[in-house]
Amino acid sequence: MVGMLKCPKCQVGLGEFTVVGEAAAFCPHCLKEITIFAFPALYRKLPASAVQAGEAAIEGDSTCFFHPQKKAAIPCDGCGRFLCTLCDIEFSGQHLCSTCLETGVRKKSIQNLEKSRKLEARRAFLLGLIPLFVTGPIAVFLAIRAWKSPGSMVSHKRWYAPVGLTLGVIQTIFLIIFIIARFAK
Amino acid sequence: MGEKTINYIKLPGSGYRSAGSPFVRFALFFVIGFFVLLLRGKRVQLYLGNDHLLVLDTDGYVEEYKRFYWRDIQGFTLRRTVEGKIINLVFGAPFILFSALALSSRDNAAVFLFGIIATVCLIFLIINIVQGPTCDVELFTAVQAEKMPSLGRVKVAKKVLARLQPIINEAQGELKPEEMVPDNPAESVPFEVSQAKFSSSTPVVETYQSKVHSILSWVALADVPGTCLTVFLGQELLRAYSLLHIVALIILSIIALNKQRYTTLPVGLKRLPVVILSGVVICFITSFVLGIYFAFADQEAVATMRENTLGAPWQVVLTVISTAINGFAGLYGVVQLKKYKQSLVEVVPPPLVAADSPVNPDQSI
Repeated sequence: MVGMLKCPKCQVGLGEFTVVGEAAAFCPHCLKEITIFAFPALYRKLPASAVQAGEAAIEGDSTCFFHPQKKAAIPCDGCGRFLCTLCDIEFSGQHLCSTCLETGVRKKSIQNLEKSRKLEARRAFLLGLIPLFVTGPIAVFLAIRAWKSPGSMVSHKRWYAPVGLTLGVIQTIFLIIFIIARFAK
Repeated sequence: MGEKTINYIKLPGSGYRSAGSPFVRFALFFVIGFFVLLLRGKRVQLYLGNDHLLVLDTDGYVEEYKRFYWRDIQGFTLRRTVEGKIINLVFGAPFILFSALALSSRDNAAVFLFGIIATVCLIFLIINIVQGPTCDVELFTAVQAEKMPSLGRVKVAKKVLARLQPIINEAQGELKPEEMVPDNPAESVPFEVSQAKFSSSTPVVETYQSKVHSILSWVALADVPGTCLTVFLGQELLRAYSLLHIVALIILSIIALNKQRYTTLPVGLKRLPVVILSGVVICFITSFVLGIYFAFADQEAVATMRENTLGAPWQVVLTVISTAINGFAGLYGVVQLKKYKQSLVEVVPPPLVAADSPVNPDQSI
């Protein structure tokens, strides 16, 4: 199938074309000029044998842990279990079984599978900056919880948590002094 | 299973992934002021990974990641938009207006105030001009089309794409000639850089079926007789009518802008709500600014204007201009919508048969 891209505004197909690299096109609907950057993947079909069912095992062959009737093709890089071609999940240069992949997602040990992260250290820092007394204890709590958390995947500022904790402690001290002074009267 | 921490390199550009039309947010600025910035949505940035492009969405507290591996990226499309020009207008017009007011004012306080406002507008205008024209960029894979809000300026987009191109080409390898042959050579059309020919493609857009544009056109057109009548019927009625009419136009324009997206409505009709909304906003801003000016410069004129809405010459001019804009826009909308609806209806009239025409012998019993 030759390449088919769409206009970003109208979502109308820009027609089939055969060019790799930068090119110009006109949307047939809004008549706007569109610059296209096409890559070889636009034209490549998936090979017919991309997903294989797995070769049947004969006597003496090592078999897949999950499919005893299939021949083992590769060991899992996570747990070492033998896997057939169907069970093998190639991901980020590793061959993993579905269990290890699921474990990696749950324990966040495979960075490339993480879909989101909470920036609790940043929250602690921002709450520590806001002098509303009640934000102090909350900042302390968040800073302690976020102390060992991985933080942002792209730009983790390690000083967020300690600074947030310090500011939170200062606010909490003032809060306590305020309460004592209030009740002392 | 442990892997090394990936080091990401930040790519230029930053944008916001917001739902809804930017014109709606611009209109809402006049309703809720700077709180409209809360409706911007999540901030989007691009990062270069070792084997993928990372799209990061963040609201400051949670980061969300999408990865596009080099081997999966089929292409990018870049389409220039008019947002940059509109921003130029939004800051350029007030700059000219407030500069003129500052230069013509005799009161020092007014000069200072108008000068400050003109300077602020000038700064934003210069920033916008320096950043260059705006654009929309989309990334395509086999299964999705992902908008890239962080590449909202042509300069930044071309810089980033120039950086990504060699990386992606290297990851995907060279394309063999046999891979370029289409499945159906008779149907596909090879296209050159400057001569694009398109095979018939089924558009994803829908036929426009809403009545909003029709209502908007008639309401705009009704401004002409409405204004003429209320001028003679009294000041209070004129003020009330003007206010209601402006509110109705703003609401209908915003609804029309949303309804017309991804429809087959002609470009001229799609611009109609923009023209009407722009006219309302410009007239509103102008009258507001002039009102402030006269409040500083000429107290007697303010008293006159309070008694008679059309007492001052500039008020008459403004009313005539706004009524004319609405009238012409409304008339254009009514006429063009009629033509558009006629073009949608394909009526094949049955052949006329005379009462005494001979019966077809083949059909006779």
